[in-house]
Amino acid sequence: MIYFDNAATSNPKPPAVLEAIATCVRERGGNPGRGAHRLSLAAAETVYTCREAACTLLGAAAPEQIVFMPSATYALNAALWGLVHEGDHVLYSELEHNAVMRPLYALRAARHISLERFRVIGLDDEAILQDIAHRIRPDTRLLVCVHASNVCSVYLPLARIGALCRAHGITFVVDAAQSAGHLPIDMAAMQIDALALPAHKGLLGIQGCGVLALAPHVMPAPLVQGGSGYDSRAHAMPPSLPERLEAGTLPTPAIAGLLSGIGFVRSLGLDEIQSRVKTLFLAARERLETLGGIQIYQATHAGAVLLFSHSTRSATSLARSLDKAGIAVRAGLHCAPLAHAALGTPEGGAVRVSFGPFNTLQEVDALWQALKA
Amino acid sequence: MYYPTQKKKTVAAIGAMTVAIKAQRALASEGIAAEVIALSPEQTRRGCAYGIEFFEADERTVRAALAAVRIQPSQFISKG
Repeated sequence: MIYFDNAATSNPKPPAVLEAIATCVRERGGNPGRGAHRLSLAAAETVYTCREAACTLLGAAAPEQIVFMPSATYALNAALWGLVHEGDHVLYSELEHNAVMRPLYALRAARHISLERFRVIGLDDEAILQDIAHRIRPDTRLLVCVHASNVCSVYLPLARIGALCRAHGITFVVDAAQSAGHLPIDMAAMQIDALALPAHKGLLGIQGCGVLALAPHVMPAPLVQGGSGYDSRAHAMPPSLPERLEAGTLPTPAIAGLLSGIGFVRSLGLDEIQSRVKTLFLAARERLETLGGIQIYQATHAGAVLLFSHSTRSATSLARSLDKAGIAVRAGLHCAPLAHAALGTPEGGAVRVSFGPFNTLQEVDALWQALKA
Repeated sequence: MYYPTQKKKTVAAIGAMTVAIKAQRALASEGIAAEVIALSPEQTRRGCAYGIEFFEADERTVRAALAAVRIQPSQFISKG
């Protein structure tokens, strides 16, 4: 199978990641932060080492600012529900995934917040900044946006948005689901207050683990309460990170996989990964442009995601044909209907081809041949 | 030569496992061996907690090393 659905989840995983997970289950099978026998401590050391690795990768302030969550969606929910208050005005981009939009819609109903969308598609960085600045109000408390879209290869200028937010006292929340493992992230330099990412996409880990990285001055209210391994007599979650937000048992094997995945990404290098996916994008774009009826969206941006539609065939039909030819892509709206609306894709959405570091030019050729048939 | 004081251990009560490991690693970088241990609930007001155990002779260095990484143990417990 040729796998071009890395934006959904990366596949395959590096052998070292699979081995790290197996070793964790086999040899570090205790519950981290629960008791102090050697297997529990071994698991806790794996977890802490992963916090250190993620801290370095993301430019976070300290390992304890790295909070493990079941997924990036969960991390975004924890950030938004923990940081948005009654009556707040919240800004979001037109590229947001439902992992952001659905919590925002729910918060609008529950806490009577007002939502305002800022534009990205068709704008350069300066124009994006101007559009955001134009929408900032005295009651604007939070801005949330993707780093890289899951629908097309568009990146937001995080450092400039962060500086704008900081200047206005606005909490800056970033969805790095598509960028972690592909693009440089520096929370301190970009002035990011909360950043969410999954283990299983660009960082090449497995499903079941996400990260919420928080700036030192940010302390969301806990989304979930439960066991924390200490402070047991208290009726509330403990006061300090990360345990304050980590109710229940952590997915240690998935964290071990994330640790190995981060190591793999760092050893390969973000520049090399970007170079590989850009090469694949440009090759795919060049080949698809030779085919009649194909429209590529945001074709000027070369990154890990290429989105296209066909003038006479639905996205779903194309994806089904490609699957029969042994090529995995994803059709539809990709849980980001606002982005599709902004891009002007057909009612049935479009076909997303998303590259990972293990894809090859030969696979791109196979995609082209399959679409030509 | 046998120095009885070197056998004495002290426990710094930390609280969370994450901070306990951070403390252990901070001490390791200073060349001090410390062990993460579970404190019994009667040793802390708030229930279960973790601490780090080290030789009493290292206490001054331990206090300085932990302060440098902004870890403030709630108490130091001499184990005699």
